[in-house]
Amino acid sequence: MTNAFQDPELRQRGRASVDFLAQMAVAAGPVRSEVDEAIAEKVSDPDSLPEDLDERLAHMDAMLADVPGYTTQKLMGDWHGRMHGRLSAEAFEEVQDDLAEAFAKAEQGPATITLNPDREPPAYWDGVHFHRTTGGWEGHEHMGYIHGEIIHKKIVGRFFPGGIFQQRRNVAGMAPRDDYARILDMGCSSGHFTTALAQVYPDAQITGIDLSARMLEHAWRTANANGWNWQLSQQAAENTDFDDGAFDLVTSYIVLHEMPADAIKAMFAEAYRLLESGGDMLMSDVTRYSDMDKLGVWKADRGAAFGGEPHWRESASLDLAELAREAGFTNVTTSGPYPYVIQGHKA
Amino acid sequence: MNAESGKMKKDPRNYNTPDKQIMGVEHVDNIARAVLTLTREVAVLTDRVLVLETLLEKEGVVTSEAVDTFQPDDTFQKRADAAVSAISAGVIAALQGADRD
Repeated sequence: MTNAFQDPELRQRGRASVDFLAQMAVAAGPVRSEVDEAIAEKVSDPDSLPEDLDERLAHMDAMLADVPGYTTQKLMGDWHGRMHGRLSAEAFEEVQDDLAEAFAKAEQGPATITLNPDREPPAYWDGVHFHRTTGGWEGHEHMGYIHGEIIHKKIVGRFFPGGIFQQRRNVAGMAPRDDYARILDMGCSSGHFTTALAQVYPDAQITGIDLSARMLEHAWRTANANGWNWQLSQQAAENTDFDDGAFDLVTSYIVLHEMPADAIKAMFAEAYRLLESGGDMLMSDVTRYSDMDKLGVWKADRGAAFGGEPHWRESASLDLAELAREAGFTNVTTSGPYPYVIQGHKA
Repeated sequence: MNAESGKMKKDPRNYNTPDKQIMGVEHVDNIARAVLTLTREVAVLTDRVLVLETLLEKEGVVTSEAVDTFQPDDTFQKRADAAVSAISAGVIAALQGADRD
């Protein structure tokens, strides 16, 4: 059979496997309730929990050790972490031949891609399997497609009422102007937020950068399939080869938690350098630890520790507004809790 | 020679079914993962049976390609989700020891 390039029809085994991953999350509802009830019973005052986050993780693990649901929850989370990439890759490989025609077409079009295989990848990224994706972002020849079209659209998307793209369009539309001409999307990955930017600002020339060649390739095909003239290149957001003042809007969507503090500081400084006078910055990320109580932080921190998120704790603990002001931005505003959106202006 | 092999030598019939513990506690997590992996296979097969039933009812004769490329409508999806949810719930309950008397 032939298949559409985006949101493909899967074959039975792959389709049933991703359905299973989704249904496991549904079936785990009572387990979550049991754990939440046990926590409510055992933790009467979240403020009494240990200040140190490692101690808090150990404290909660010990406290919940006799709650059967907690063990089951950990097991299911671990299995999902290990298997979602493998099952999604398998589902892709079943339809890869069906997609050949659509892939060939998507390699023709107005978008450009510049890869830099000789680059020195930053240590915070190199060899890290973010989200516990099997082999990391470069772990499969078509990881961009597997992540962008199968994991995000057929698994993650089920748990976002209104869809993951509506959320991205809402954030893209938060920038103060509607007449941007040159937009840079930092850490554009497979192009999901870049798609939202293209839809919200159809007349803008959009540029996307990312460290992952495999993700950029999917963004490139996506742009071609939609007739968008994106200019994509493999670069670190904190050190690009663009000229000063090359853009009037610089964005990033929920990528900051994949970076340590020093890289984020450098990225903000780079965003400031790349904006022309009068330009705007629009970035977003996960909920700040400072906006949660100690239990909320424990849940997020535990999810990060076992969900392939080595920089989440450091990143989510940062005061991004302060960092933006230090980088030179004025009129800095934030909104949240999720996505946590930070905006700034270059005077 | 350890105690186990010494005991085996005393009675040659012990060689019929040697009493040996294979799995250590360090393997328990892998066994639990295997249970979930098998649950996925059961879910996939359950879905395939539902597809077969649906296509047979409609077409009378089906090919494996027709089963592989079948795309569910809302009615089928609800039926499949309910079946897989029941399988998952049963395994999850057993993992928690909820099937104990």
